[in-house]
Amino acid sequence: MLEVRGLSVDYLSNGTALHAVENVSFKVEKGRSIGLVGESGCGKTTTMLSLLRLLPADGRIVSGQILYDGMDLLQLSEHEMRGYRWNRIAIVFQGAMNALNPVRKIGDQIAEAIQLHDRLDNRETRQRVGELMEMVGIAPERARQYPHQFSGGMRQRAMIAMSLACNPDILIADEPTTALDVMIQAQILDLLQQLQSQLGLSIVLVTHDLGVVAELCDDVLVMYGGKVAEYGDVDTIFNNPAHPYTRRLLEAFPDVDSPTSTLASIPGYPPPLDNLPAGCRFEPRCYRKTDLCTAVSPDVIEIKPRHFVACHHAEE
Amino acid sequence: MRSKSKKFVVAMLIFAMLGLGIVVNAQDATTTLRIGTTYMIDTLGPGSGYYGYDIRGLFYETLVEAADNNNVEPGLAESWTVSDDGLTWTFKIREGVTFSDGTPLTAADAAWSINWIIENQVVSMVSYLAFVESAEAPDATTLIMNLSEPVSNMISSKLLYVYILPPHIWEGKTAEEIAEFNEPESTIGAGPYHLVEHQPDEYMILEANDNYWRGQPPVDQIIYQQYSTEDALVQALAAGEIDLAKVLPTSGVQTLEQTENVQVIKTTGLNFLQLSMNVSEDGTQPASMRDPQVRLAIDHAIDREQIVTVGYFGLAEPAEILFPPAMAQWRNTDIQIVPFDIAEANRILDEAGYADTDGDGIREDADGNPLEYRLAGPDSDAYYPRILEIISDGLSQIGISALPYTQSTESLTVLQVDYDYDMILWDWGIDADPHFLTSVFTCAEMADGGWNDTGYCNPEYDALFQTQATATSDEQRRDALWKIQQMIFDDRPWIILVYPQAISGYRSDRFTFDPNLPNALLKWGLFTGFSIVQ
Amino acid sequence: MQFDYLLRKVFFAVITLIVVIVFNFFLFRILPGDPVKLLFRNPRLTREAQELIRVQFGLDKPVWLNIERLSAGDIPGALDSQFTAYIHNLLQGKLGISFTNRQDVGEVLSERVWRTVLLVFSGELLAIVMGVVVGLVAAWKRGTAIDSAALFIGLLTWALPTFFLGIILLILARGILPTGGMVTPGLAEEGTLEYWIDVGRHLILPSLTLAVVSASGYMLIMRSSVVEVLSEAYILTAKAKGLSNARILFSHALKNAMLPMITIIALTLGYVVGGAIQVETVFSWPGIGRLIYDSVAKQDYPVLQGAFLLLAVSVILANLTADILYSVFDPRVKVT
Ligand SMILES: Nc1ncnc2c1ncn2[C@@H]1O[C@H](COP(=O)(O)OP(=O)(O)O)[C@@H](O)[C@H]1O
Ligand SMILES: [Mg+2]
Repeated sequence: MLEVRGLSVDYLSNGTALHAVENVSFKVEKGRSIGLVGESGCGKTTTMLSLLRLLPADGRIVSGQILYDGMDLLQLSEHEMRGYRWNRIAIVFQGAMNALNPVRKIGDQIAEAIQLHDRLDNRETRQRVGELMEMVGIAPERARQYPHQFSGGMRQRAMIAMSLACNPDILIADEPTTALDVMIQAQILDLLQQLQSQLGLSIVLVTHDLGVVAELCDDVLVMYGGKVAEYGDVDTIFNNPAHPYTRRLLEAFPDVDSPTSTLASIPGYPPPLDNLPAGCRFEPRCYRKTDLCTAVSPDVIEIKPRHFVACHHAEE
Repeated sequence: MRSKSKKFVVAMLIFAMLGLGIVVNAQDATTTLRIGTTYMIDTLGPGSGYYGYDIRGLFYETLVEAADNNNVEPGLAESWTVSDDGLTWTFKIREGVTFSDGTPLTAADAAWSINWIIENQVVSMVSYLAFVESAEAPDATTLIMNLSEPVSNMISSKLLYVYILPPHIWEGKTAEEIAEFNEPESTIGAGPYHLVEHQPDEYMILEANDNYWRGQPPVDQIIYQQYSTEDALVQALAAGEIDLAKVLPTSGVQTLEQTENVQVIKTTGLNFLQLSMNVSEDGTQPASMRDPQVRLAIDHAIDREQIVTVGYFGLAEPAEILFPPAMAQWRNTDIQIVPFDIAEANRILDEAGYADTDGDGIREDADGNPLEYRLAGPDSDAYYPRILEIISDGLSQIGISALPYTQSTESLTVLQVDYDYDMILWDWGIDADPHFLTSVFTCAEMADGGWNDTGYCNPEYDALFQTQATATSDEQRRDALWKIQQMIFDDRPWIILVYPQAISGYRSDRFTFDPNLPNALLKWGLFTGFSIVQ
Repeated sequence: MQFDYLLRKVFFAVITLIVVIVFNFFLFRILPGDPVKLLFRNPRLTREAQELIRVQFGLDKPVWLNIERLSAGDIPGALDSQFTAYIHNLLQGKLGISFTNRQDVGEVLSERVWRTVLLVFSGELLAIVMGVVVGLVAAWKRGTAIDSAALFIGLLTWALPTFFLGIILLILARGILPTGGMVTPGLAEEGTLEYWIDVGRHLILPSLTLAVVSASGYMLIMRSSVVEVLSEAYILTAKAKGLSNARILFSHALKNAMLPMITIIALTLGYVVGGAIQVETVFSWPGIGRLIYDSVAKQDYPVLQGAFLLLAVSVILANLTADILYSVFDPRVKVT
């Protein structure tokens, strides 16, 4: 349904182009969910914003295609693009603190999206807002309240309710649970899972929590340094990881049921954008690196059907 | 007077100097003369008003009146005599005069007014009746004033400012009520116009008094419109919003001379620019400032021609003598002026023993104190700093350091009354009669609230002043005044710098004013050849 | 809004007012010099007459306390001072009599205050509208030529002396618009349509001058406020919703960006009664600003005290209004 082909994104900083995302390809299929994992700064958010063409002013999509039912979103006019936003692809941002406008009522903010895309009258809109709020477990009366009167978890629920306002096909959730406490995190994730099965949504879940991915997703895209490291279905990735980075990630999560551990347990840091290695991006931190890795950046290859890896030593 | 009081004195001066003949041609329609001004009147009542005398003069009549060329003409008094001892004045009061509300005016009203002013100590007028003990009216046309001492300028000055008022308006009011009575009725007098509308700081509308004794006033209506700045007057005159502006800034002359239908009038009048020198015995000035030789040297070092050019765009004349040429009757024409001469100034200082002993370019006195002076001027106009600069330049060439600076007239006044200054630049506007001007240098004026701004105190001078005040003949008075001028010139408590030209302007498409008829803008001028253009 | 909150704000306002009343009295009395000496430095005034005036205005009394009487144990005599007279008058609602024109200060002020409010209010209103609109556009078009032009013109007009701008406008409009004053004397009866049209014509230049010089301040604040708001996450949410730029700007950015403006606007309007000395001077507008200016020069204490009391009351009220408005506009402000 949504296919990203060879997406590359640069940020312009003081006249130099920083390659934040390079040649990323993946597919979001109907009713399936895909997990996007990788450490902070890997280009996950940048990729998601590109899908909706919402990059900040200094971001440029330099190449690639974003095909939605075969239509390249990058070729649309700004006006046409607006018709896709929320209506087809909705997004829930990282950290719900400021994603809602503090001076407007929750209900109005939800209603705004409905009226923009669905042209319902006021009464119908109000009713729909009520349904949506119930769906995410908030009492409909609270539509009249302001964001500051909601707790963090409630706000994220409200965001999810809002994201569902126009019955989108795809819901992007960019780290929807960071900054929430553990109990609430689990509730929100349950909610997402439940909504997915109930509404037949495709979900793109950005996270660095592999436990969540294992539980929620059908496919997994592992990103490192703005590039695809490994891409395949959840079983393949978890049972037969081929990329050393994926393996390291999995090792950092010995227990899939204890999502509290962090990724910081991999020694070293992702490469800074203004000083990328010449060869494989992971090479400086890799336990299997060879001279080839230092010199040549590996292409993404399909080592098995629907299992893609970018590593010179993937098949060893 | 200082710039502040300068306003009202300039008003009087203009009143006295601009004989603007106005010829009225329009017959049926109401004729209106619109006068632009930067100040109008402080209080409507005559009892506590300190400025706006040109306007007050339209409301009230006086016994005698200022006319052309600083002459005095009969007003309500047709004629007068004074006893040989100078103590009894007898006036013949005109018959058939009425106040603007129709009540007749007789000698009894004149006597009542004078007694009322004295009894109530009416602050705006009582000083003009000094030495007057009482007034009486033995019949309807005779007024007698009894004095305790002769007063030389009774006619030429004092009585010009004493209004004859209607008793039925003022009788029985307390001093406070007199001061605060601010209703339009308080402007009822026997003058050619009466007040119709007054918006403080905005405008006044005056209407002709049909019963005026000199005859029907030539314009039906006079409107005074107040502007905040003289620059605005220039614009208003150029735009034709006003017909006449009596006081215009020199900076506006060029614009106005190029404007069609605007006629500019320049007159040298009763004003001058002067430098006050602190000669006080208990002032804060350096001791050298009290040395007349230093002041003489300073006088030599001031380039007056340059002040005229740079400060006044040429619209002034270099000056030396206390009495400007407009006071021809009293002016001492024998005084030998000192030329601009840096070499001579240096020579005087050398001779007086002021040498630059430490080689810093500034002379020191015998005690080693440098000739360093504060040189102040008002900040109210742009030409003051330019002039201060010229003076300072000249002084630097004779080894005197004088740092020029400007301040508000109010703070300068405060410094000056405390003799806490060295040199201050001031503009003065004065009466045609020299009494007040010469009083400034008397010892008596050094008292609190007095006018002596330099601390000059000289018994010889005070005697001369007394002589001119009580002289019973013009010759006697002139003799004293000539000596006074010479004495001020020699002692230099003031150094007179220039006589600036007074600038007025009018719309020649509405009125014609004869610039050769230099006197009494309104009241007098209105009845002595004023014409309205079609 | 909680009553409690309001009550406390009002309480502090009253305290402030009392402090102002006392301060007001002493403020002008520390000016160097003596009002009678300055005001009546006039050859028509004999020294006896000056003394008379001093007594009339109560300036012969001690300013604060009669120390001599106090040490003599005469308490009422000690309290017979200028200050007690001032408080006594004030309690009776009297602001005193002007030294200069002998008119009741209350009347003088009430006559002038509406003229000043008319001028400053219309000028500031125009400035606010211009500032808000240009600031909004500049922020939205940040980094473009439009933004740079707005900034340049803003800084230029900000640096432009009011006097200079006023005189330029005055000369440019000479013959088209009146050069000064508030009405054409004798043209129309007060209150008629013709009168108000005349006032309107006189109002154009001064309010425009005021607007141009103060608009840039609003513009710069508005611009930075909008720039800040536009970087907020909820703006990205609004974009993601598919809203058009205009809707994002007006229904999401504007209200948030206006929050800092509300305080500034309310406080500015509080100073409205203080007038605009420079504009009032250039255009001969007979307002409070010029009255204060002239009265300072003449040390006309009663007028100054009255004017500053008026100003203080209006600033205090404006502060109160700002607090209340802010809590109305921003639901986050807890009014407790
Ligand atoms: N507006 C921007 N300008 C320049 N660099 C940016 C900008 N936004 C993100 N980046 C950089 O792009 C890289 C990818 O960022 P991001 O997509 O936010 O990563 P992730 O979501 O995986 O943490 C990071 O190195 C980040 O510093
Ligand atoms: Mg991110």
